[in-house]
Amino acid sequence: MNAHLRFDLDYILRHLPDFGPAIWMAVQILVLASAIALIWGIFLALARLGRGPVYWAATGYIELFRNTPLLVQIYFAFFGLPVFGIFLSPFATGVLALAAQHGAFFAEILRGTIQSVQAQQREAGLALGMMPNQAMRYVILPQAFRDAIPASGNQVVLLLQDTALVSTIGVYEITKTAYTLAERSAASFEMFVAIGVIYLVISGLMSITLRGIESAYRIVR
Amino acid sequence: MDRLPETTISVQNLHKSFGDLHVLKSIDLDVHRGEVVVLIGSSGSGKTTLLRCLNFLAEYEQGQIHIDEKLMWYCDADCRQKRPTKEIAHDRAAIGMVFQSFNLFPHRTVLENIILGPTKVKPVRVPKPEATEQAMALLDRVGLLEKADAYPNTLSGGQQQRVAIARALAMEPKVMLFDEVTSALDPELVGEVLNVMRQLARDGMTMVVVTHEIHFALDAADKVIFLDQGKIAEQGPPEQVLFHPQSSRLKDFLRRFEEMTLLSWRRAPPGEKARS
Amino acid sequence: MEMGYTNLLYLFDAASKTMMLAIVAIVMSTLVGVIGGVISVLGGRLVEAMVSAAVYVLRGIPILVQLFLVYFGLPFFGIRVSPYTVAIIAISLHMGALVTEVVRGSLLALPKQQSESGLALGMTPLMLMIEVLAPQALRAALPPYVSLIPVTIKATSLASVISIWELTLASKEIANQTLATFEVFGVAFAIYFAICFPFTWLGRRLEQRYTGYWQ
Repeated sequence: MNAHLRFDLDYILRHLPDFGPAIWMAVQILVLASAIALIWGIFLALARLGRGPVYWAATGYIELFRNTPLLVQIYFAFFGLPVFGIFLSPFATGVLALAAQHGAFFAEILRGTIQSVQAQQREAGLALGMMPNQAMRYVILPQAFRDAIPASGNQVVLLLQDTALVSTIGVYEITKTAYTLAERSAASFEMFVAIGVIYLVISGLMSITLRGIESAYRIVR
Repeated sequence: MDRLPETTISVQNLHKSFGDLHVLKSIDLDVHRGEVVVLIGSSGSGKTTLLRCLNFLAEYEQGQIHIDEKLMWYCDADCRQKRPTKEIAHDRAAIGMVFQSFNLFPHRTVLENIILGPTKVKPVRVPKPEATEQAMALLDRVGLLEKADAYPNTLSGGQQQRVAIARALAMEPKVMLFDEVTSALDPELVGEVLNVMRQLARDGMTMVVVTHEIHFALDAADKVIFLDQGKIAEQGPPEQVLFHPQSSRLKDFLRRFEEMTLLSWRRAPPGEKARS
Repeated sequence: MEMGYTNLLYLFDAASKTMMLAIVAIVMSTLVGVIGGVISVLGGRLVEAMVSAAVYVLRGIPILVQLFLVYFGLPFFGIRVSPYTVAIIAISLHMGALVTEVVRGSLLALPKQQSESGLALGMTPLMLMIEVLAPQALRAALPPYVSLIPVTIKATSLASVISIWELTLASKEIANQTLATFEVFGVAFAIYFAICFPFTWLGRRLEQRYTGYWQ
C-alpha cells in the first residue's frame, strides 16, 4: 500500500507551464489591489484626521474591515453586489474586496506614522508661518509616508498571500489552478507543495525589492 | 534727550496658566527696534512660555501683544474672541523662532529646509531661483555654504542649529526669538551658534533670547530680564542686572550659575558690546 | 428575501462552532509558538536556524494553501484525519509561526544586564527565569500576542473551504438559499466583529501602555 508514498515530481514539472498564466493572474490582482488599497488607505487615514462624521465614518470603516474575515468580505461582494444590481467579474470583485480590506490596514499604518512624527516638527512649521494644513502637507505627511514604507511593504506581501482567497470565487490564479490540476490527478499533495514554493519565491523576491525601496527612502533622524 | 526707537514688541499685562498653575503673571515688556533682550531665570520661571506666547505657540488668557504697533492677538477674560488661524499664521511668518531641539525637517536637505518657507509659506511667495539665491547667501552668513545639499542628520548639533537660524531668517522676520538654542549642544559647539547670534545682533536684528549663557547676555544684550515665578523680577542693562543684583533671588540664581560654570565672568571684562 | 428567525439561530449556532475552532487554534498556536520561540533562543545555532526556516516557510505560504497541503499531505503519508483536525493543524502551524516570532522577539529584547544583575544578586538561573526574565518577556510579548488573536479568529473562516461547517460556511449556505445576502452577511460581519474587536482594542491599549518601557 505504500505505492502512494511516491512524490510525483514529473507531474509537477509537466504542469509547470500551466502556472505561467496563473502567476500572471496573481500578479495582476496583487498590483491592482495594492495600488487601489494604498490610495484608499491614504484617503481613509486623512479622513481619520478630520472631525465629526468624517472621522467616525473612516474609523467605523477601518475597524469593521479589520475585524472581519476577508473571505466573508469576498463572499459578500461576490453574492451581494449582484443583488444591488452591480455585476462585476470575479476578477474585479476579488481585486475590490482585497483593496477594501487592505486599504483599512494601510490606513492604520499611516495613522501610526502620522502620530509618531514629533510634535515639535509641526511646531517648527507653524513657527515658520504655516497654516495647520500646510504643516500637514509639507512637514508631517512627507515624513509619515516615508516612515510607512517598511510596514506597508510587509502588508503588500500579506496581500500576495490573500490573493489565494480569490480562488474561492473561481478566479484562476495560483491556488485555483493548483486545485483544478490536483482534482484531475492523484498528485494533489505535489501540486500544493509546488505552489507553496511558488508563493515563497514570489514573496522572497518582493521582500528583496522592498528592502531596497526601504533603504532608498528611509529618513535618518 | 535720546529719541526712543520705535517699539517692535510691546507686551501688556500678559497672563498665562496651565490648569491651576499660573505661569505668567502680568508681564509687561517692551522691545525696541534693533534691541537684544535676554531672558534669564531658573527652570519653571516662565521664560520659555513667554517666548512661546510671543509667537502664539502658547495661548494666553489675558493681556495684549503688539508687534510693530499692531495688535497681534487679543483674548478677553473668557477668551471667547479668537483670531482666525490664517491671520495668526500670517503674523507668525514675520516672527522667526529657533528651538532648543533644532527641529529641522529631516526629509529635506539643508537648502530645501531654508527655501520651504519663502517659496511655499510666505504671504508673498518668492520664486524658487530667487529663494535659492537668498538661501545660499544666508548659508554663507552662518558659515555653512558647503552643506547646502546635506541632510540634517549628517550635521553636528551646532551646524543644525545654524541652519535653523538661517531657515528662520529666510522669512525676513521683524523679530527673532531664541529658545535655549544652545542647551542641547555639546559645550564645544555652543560658541559657533552664539557667534552667529552675536553677528545677527550687530547687524541690527531685534532679538529676544532665552538662554543660560551669561557671557552672551553680557556682551550682546541691551537689556537683561530676570524672570522669577512668572513675574519680571529685575530688568536693566546687563552690567546692572548681572553685576549689581538687587533681590536675593537673583543673587542666588547668579551664584548658582557661577558655581555651575566655574567661570568668574564677574572679573572678566564685559567685552566689546554689540552696539555702542 | 427574509432571512428569518430560524436562520438567525442557525448562524449563532455556527458562530459557536467558529469560537470553538478559534479557541482550539489559539491554544495550539500558543503552544507551538512558545515552544518554537523558547527552543530557538536556548537551543543553539542549529536549532535556531531550523526554527527560522520553518517560520519563514509557514508564514510565507497562504493559510489557504497550507490548509490544502495538510488536507492532501497527511493522506499522502498514510495518515487519515477529519477535516476539522486538518483545519486545526493548518491554522495552528501558520499562527504558531507568528507566535514564535513574538516570543522569540520578546526574549531577545531582554537586556543582558538583567540576567547579569540577577546572577550578581546570587539568584539561581531558575529563580532568574521566574523572577526576572519571564515577567519582562511576558510584558513585551503580550501586546503583539493579543493582536494575533483576532487574526486567528478570522483565519478560522478559511476552514469553510474544506467544508467545515462554521460561521462563514453557514452564512454562505443561507445567503444562497434565502438570497437575503445583505442581512445574512451583515449578521456574520456583526458576529465576527463582536468577537474580534475586543482583542484588537485590547492589543492596541496594551501596546500604548507598554511603549516606553522597551526601546
